[in-house]
Formats: sequence, structure tokens, C-alpha cells
Amino acid sequence: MDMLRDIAGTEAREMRILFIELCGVFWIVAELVILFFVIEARRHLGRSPISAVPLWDRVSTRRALLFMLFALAALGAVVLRPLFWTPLSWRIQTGPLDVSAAAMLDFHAVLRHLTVWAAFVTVWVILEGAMVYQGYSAYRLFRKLVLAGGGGATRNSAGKTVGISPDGSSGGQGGQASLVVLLLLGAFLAAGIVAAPVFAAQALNAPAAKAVDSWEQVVQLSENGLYPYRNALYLYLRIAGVVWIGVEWIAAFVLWRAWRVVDHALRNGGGAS
Amino acid sequence: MTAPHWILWLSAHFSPEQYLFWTRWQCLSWTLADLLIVFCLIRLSNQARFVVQRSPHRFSYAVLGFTVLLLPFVIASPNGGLLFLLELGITVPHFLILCYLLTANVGVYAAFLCKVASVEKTDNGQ
Repeated sequence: MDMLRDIAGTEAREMRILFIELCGVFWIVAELVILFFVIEARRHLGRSPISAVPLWDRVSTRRALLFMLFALAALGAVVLRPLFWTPLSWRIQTGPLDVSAAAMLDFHAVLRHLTVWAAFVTVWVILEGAMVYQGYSAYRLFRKLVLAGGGGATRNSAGKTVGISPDGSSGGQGGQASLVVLLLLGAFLAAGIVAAPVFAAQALNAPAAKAVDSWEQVVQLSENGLYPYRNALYLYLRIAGVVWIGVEWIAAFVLWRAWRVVDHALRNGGGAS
Repeated sequence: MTAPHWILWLSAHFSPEQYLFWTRWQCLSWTLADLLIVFCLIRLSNQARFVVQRSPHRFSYAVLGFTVLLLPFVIASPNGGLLFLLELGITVPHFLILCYLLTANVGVYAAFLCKVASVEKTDNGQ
């Protein structure tokens, strides 16, 4: 094999995968930041009386920051791991590789990428779902605040305050705990679903070695083995896409309603008086 | 090499061509939802800024407008690679706008909510 061409080919493929996965990490981190603000907005709206300045709960803010750093480190490790685990381009530099071995390495590298991407998509759907859940709760509190006239708490028929405690935490804590459980369950389920093809692939035999002498033929050999996994994961991505679109439109509708409620409040309340 | 049965079954019901076709339409759908989300948040933020007498955001609208220009190319994109780059060009500005609005207006939102609550209380005679 022409070693220079092989190295260039493998490096281009690895760089493309790295770039795509880094974009995925950016999207997840951005969604985590937005989710943090949505949860804080919901918590703020639950306080009675509403504070004129943002009140940061030190413990929960620190916890959120630590979670974000941990998530970033974990995602970084997932994305950058192939670079430190002797990628194919490095192996080729140490000497000519057997064609079937090269194809098998490429096969696993691409399958890992597809699996990671499916996991990222699942995480986005879960995060968007959590955002909509929290956002809708915040919207309901806000609407109640505007329509009922101040205070996030509601009273039941016996005149008892229900839902939100004066510091806005009691109703929220239950929601946060269930959200964390939901996130963890979703993450485990997603990990299980997306990991299944990879574990299955470990048992595969190497592609039959033929007289190939170019990087393109190695890729072709690898792609021949990849196509059932690729198609199955493509199908999973598009099904997840349907859920994702549904959640996104709910989020858009909730925000649109919030804007209309504010508009109504401003028209009736005098706005910048 | 033989893939597990269920993978082969799933694979038989989908192809890369179908994937690209549905990705285009799904991409268009979620991008439209994203546009509405970002637009509504800019409007909400500007309403809040109006109440607390701050100048409205204008640059965010310009960035949002730029992403709208990319939208027709989503449907016309000939391959997945270009579609990914287009999606990158649309969603990265969207996320940056959202994160900017939320961080820059934290104090504004709190003051606005307090003011709205007090105005409503006064209106209700409390």
C-alpha cells in the first residue's frame, strides 16, 4: 500500500469524525446551559414574593456547575479517546498493516462514531424534553402570576398554600429529583440501545483479505461490513428526529404563549411606568 | 461478515437515500421551530428590557436573519456533509443567541417579573 496516501486518507476520515463529534459536544453543552437557566427561571417564579434580583442558590448552582464540568470531561473523553487509543493513521505510520486488519480497525472506528452520534442524539432529545417540562412549569407559574396577581403559590379549597413553598423550593425539589431520575434512566436506556450494535460487532470476523492495494479498497471493505449497522442507526436517528421535532415545536409554542402573556400584561399593566 | 438478525431487519427497511431525504425535511422542521424559539426569546427579552427601561436587542435579530437566509439551502443540499455544515451555520448562531440572551438578561428578567407582579397586584387592588 502507498503509505502516505493511506495516512492522508485515514487522517482525513478521523479528523472528520472528530470535528462532527466536537460539534455534538458543543450542542450538548449549550443545551445544558439553557436547561440550567430554565430550571433557575422556574425556581425564581416559584418564590413568593418575587425577588427583583436573581437569587442564586449556592448549593444548587455549585452542583449544576460540577455536573456541567463532569459532563464536559466525560464527553471530551468519549470524543478524544480514539486519538489516544492508537488510531489507524498512527498504526500505519509504524509500518504497513495487513489489509483485513486495517479494514477491521476502520470498521470499528466508524461504528464507534455512529454509536456515539446516536447517543448524542438521544441525549439531545432527553435534554430538550427536560427543558420543555421545566419550561412549561415555569410558563404556568408565570401565567398564574400575571393572571392571579403576584406570588407563585396557589391555594387549595381549604385555603392552604400548595405547590410552591415561600422559598420556591418544595414543589421544585420533587420535580428536580424526578428530572434527575428521568435523565439517568434515559441515559442508561440510550447507552444500552446504542451500545448493542457495538457489542454485537465485536464478535464479527475480519473481512476476508483480498489482494487490495489502496486505501479506497480498505474503506470499501470496511463499508461493506458497516452498511447494515449504518442503515439501522440511520433509522434510529430519524425516529429520534420525529420525537425531537415534536418536543421542539412544543417548546416553541410554550415560548410563543409566554410572549403573548407578557404582551397582554404590558398592555393592561402599563409597561415601563 | 454477518450482522445480528435484528440489525439486518432494521437495515433492510432503510437506506442512505431515504435517510438523506428524511433528514432534509426533519432538518427544515426543527430549524423552523428553532427560529420561532429564538425569535420569541428575543421578543420576550426586549419586552422585559422595555419594562426596566433598557435598550432593546437589535444585533440578535440580525444574526437570526442571517440564519433564515440559509434555510432554503437545507432543502437543496445535495449530500449529508453539506447539510451538516448548513445545520452548523444555523444552529450555532441560534445557541449563541439563546445563551447570550439568558446570561445578559438575568437581572433584567428578575426585575421585570417583580415589576409585572407588583403592577398586577395594584391592578387587582391587593
